[in-house]
Amino acid sequence: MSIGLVGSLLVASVIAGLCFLYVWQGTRLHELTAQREGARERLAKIEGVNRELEFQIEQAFSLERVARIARTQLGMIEPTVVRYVPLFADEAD
Amino acid sequence: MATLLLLGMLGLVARLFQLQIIEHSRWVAAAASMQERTIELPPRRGTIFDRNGELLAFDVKAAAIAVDGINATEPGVLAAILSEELGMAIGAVNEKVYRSSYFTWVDRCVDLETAQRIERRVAASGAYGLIFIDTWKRCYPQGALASNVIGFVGTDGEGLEGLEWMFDESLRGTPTKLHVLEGADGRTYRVEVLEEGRPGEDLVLTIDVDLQFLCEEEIDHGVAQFRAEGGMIVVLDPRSGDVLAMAQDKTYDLNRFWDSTPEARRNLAVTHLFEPGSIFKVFTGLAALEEGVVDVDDTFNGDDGIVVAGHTMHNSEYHSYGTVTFAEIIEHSINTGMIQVAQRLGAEAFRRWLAEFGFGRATGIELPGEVDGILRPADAWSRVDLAAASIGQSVAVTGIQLASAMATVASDGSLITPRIVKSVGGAGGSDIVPGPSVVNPDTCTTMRELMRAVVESGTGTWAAIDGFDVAGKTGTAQKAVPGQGYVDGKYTSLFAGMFPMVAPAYVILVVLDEVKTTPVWGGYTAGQIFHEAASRLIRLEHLVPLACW
Repeated sequence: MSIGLVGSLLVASVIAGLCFLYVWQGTRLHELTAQREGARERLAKIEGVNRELEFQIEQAFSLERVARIARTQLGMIEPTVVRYVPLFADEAD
Repeated sequence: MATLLLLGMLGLVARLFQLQIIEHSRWVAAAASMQERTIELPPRRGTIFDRNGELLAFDVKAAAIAVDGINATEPGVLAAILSEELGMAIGAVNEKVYRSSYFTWVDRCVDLETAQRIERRVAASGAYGLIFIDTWKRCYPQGALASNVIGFVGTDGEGLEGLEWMFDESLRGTPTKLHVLEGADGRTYRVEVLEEGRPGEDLVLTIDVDLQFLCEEEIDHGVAQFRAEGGMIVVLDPRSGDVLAMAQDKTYDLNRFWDSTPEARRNLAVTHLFEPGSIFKVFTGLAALEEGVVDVDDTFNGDDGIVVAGHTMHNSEYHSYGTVTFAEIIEHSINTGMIQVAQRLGAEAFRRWLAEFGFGRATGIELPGEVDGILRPADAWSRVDLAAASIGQSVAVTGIQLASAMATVASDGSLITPRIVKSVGGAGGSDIVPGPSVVNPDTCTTMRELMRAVVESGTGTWAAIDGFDVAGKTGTAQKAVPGQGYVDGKYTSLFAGMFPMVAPAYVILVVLDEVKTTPVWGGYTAGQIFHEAASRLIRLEHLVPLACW
């Protein structure tokens, strides 16, 4: 083979390689972007679940529910008599 | 061979030229229609908090589900899944699924867990045709608590009642517009923000959720105990005008607002008009003291029966008290005595003072539907009207008006504007602008002393609380029925109290409508509810009684 032909083949190979590299990079970029958007979507879903759980917690601690459990399950009642007892600090203290 | 190869390559190049150069715009448009779309992300609606940061209303993620009836596969499978998961009748679901339409709503607000389960089941079955759109669902973790104040949001995310309606523009936010590039596999490859949206602004209320809860319990108990048609409690901080609680017996679960009645949705404190009865003697007395027409020790004839323009007006239970001081008129709520005070004052001056106290006009509280009350001009008053108004008849007020006017007495004469929203989106907050001074502070102090006597030894002893100085006034007003006038046996029973007396931090107004038990007196009925509510407030706030100072 002549040197010219070898040289041309080399140049053609380099150009082809660069083209394939460009296409590969573009594809990889799209792939990573899709993964990122997928992760964002999963995050949004998890955040949504988190907010739903937040609501369930708040609802579980709602005053009406706490009062109902206190009365019906724990037998608690409102105090009827409150006595105030003054405590005086010891002068020696 | 080489010629054939060359012809083939030329053909290929020609086809490429046709597709990529000549028909370029057509194929770009076709790709865009399949790969690109513009979506609008609904904004998260602002959260509503109580004054201590407790959640009252907030958004959780939800999904709106629609069906593409034209392209759907296995509609029977889709209908079965939807009917089972959403609890809808199969007939109703079939009507939507089999409709010949690209887009039919099935449910506008499905909780996330259910929507994801439906999505998984449909994917597992291999069926196609459901459209899931991200949306928000308004949730009220406290259920019916403060429902008449908070209000609710409709299916389209707009406020329909209460503060949700009043502050809809602030709470709503603006959607974010996105330009999305998707691949054939359905994955998102690029997201571009076209228009940045913003979530709704948060509201912080002046309401204390614990105090609201105990007031709602006490008014419920009170209405049941005294077999009243209805009742309300308003608690104000007179130093700032903050409404700490606005409770009534008729409420509804905000998470199931569609089950509520118009009566339950109505906020009584701003919309229900009633004649205040003897509570009004506080304001007649204040006006008379300020005008200098009476002194605390002035004496009057407290016997039953005073004739005004041919009409005889009586004391409660036709009781005669003999000669009484102005102080005793307040303490024992003596109608005949107070009428004589009003006659010294005169209609012009009295009406002017009532307007100064805020009667006859809306308070301006940030709640929808507030009414002005009824206070006719002085030139429309007859001598009977003057007498009647002095004892709280022939005038009509709302609960918030009366509580605010009482707060004026508590705040040493500053007319306060009640507020229920502390801040919007972080703005506002602690800027309390003192109201105009309408009454001399010394006069207010004097009146509070007189009101303390009401609770210690007068008509309001049922409201007394051991260890605490409470100043208050009772009221039992005849109730007028449209077309019938004043009807026997129909009364509005009231008590308004404030404590601690020296520098009140709380004003509590209790109103009961048409008590059916006897006696109907405001001191006995509303006074007891005041006692219970105030006692619980004291325990809640760990207030220290006077004896411990």
